[in-house]
Amino acid sequence: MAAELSFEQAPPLSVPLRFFFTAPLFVLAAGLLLVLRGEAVFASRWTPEALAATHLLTAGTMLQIMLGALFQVLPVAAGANVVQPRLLAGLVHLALSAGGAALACAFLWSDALFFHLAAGLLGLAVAALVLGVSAGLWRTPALGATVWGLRGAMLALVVTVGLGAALALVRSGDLGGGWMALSTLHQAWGLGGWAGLLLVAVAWLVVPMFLLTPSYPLLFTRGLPAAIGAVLIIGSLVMATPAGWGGGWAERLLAIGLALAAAAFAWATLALQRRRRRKITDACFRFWRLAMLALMLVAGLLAASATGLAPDAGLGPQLGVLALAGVFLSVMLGMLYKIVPFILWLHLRRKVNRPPAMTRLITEERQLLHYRLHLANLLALLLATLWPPTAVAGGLLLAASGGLLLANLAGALRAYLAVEQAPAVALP
Amino acid sequence: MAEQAGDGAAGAPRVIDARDMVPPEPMERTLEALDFLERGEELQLWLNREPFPLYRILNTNGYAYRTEYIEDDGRFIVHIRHAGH
Repeated sequence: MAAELSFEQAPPLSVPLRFFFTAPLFVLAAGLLLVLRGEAVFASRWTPEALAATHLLTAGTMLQIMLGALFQVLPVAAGANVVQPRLLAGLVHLALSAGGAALACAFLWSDALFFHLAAGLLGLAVAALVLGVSAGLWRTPALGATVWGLRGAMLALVVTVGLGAALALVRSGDLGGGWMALSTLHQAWGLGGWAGLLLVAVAWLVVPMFLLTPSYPLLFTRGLPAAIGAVLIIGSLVMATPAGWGGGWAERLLAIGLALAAAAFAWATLALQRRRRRKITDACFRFWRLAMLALMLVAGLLAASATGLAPDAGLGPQLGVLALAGVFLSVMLGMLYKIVPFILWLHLRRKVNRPPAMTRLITEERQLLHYRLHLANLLALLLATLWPPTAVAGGLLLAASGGLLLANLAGALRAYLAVEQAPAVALP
Repeated sequence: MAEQAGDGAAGAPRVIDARDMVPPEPMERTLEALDFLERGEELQLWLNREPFPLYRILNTNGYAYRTEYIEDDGRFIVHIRHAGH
């Protein structure tokens, strides 16, 4: 009977997968950029190459994976349906992919047309997404910290892309001045607000679920997102006052506030991991542990920069590498290797009575191989921030990481299609 | 303890304690158990979260469910029966 059960409300397979299969291409592009122009990428956070690489990883990779996951997570975790998921995902994915590529081109060639294109396309992607999911996300009967975290993350995404569009217009010469303050806010809302709130909201759910840890304390799951929101709003208001603008108070407040939130979340997650109910140290566990250790370092560097303990010049690239590759890429890789087989398994259940075990769609060995490659990549990138000539190695490893992700996802899809088309055939 | 068979006709429900299982094992075990759920019998699923995807499957396949939240240990108990029983 199980095979006859209806799964009609699950989003179609193509909805999340199109995002997950595009993300590795942006990782590959970022790796290629590091190979070709690595010294310029690591010379300063403000070089066109550094900005292009940063946005290939954020607006390219992270946004693809996070929005793809959101299409899947909203109905599953929050009971919130997405309006016309196939159509919406098609539009968002197209605008996001073209917008991410246009943004990298805009930085590399300082071209106003590309900046206009990027701002328009990324703005369109986010506007369509917000319109499509808002009704479900605000009306869902589901309660709890995850739903509130997702709502906050969506609002922060709108602010981030709005600030990003303003920055693009400053770069293209349409708007004047104030870009330093705008850029600080763009980074704080993007990494602390959108990505940070999404990370914690999803963590409340997936860390106990997949790593078999106890739940986060209820007060913590409510307090931490509220504190992050308060830091961002107060920091932005201080930034808007004349004293905040010139004196660096807003930057300090944002840096220290977000550093405290990051340290608290990393510490809480590592503490839960030590208390997990089944002592399985799989690849997903390792990716999360690495991410939380990197987040601790991010918190330390952020606090050091705000209190003047560290020279500012060298911190940018190290913070960038630790936050983007160390924290977010680690978590996303670990989660993709859990989520993609799970989605494929769910869809296989519609067609096959006894689908193969989820763990056979992407084997643990392949995931561990990627973990080790990713760890080597992170170390190489950190070394490149101290000694830029090694950026080529970091770039090659980053490109290899993108390639391996694509190969592993494609392998899982092939296994899915083999079972779907010939249910009697056993997997190799 | 993963699964405890109840005493059947005596009325003790069959319980799937899925709190220490990694997805998709809880859903897999539940769907398997539904194959053998008799009319009037209750299946209990214990989890540390609400299983929204499972709710949909239950709704569209003629099962009724009621979810109970145990505040002491943060456990959700999903009581499942055939609809109308």
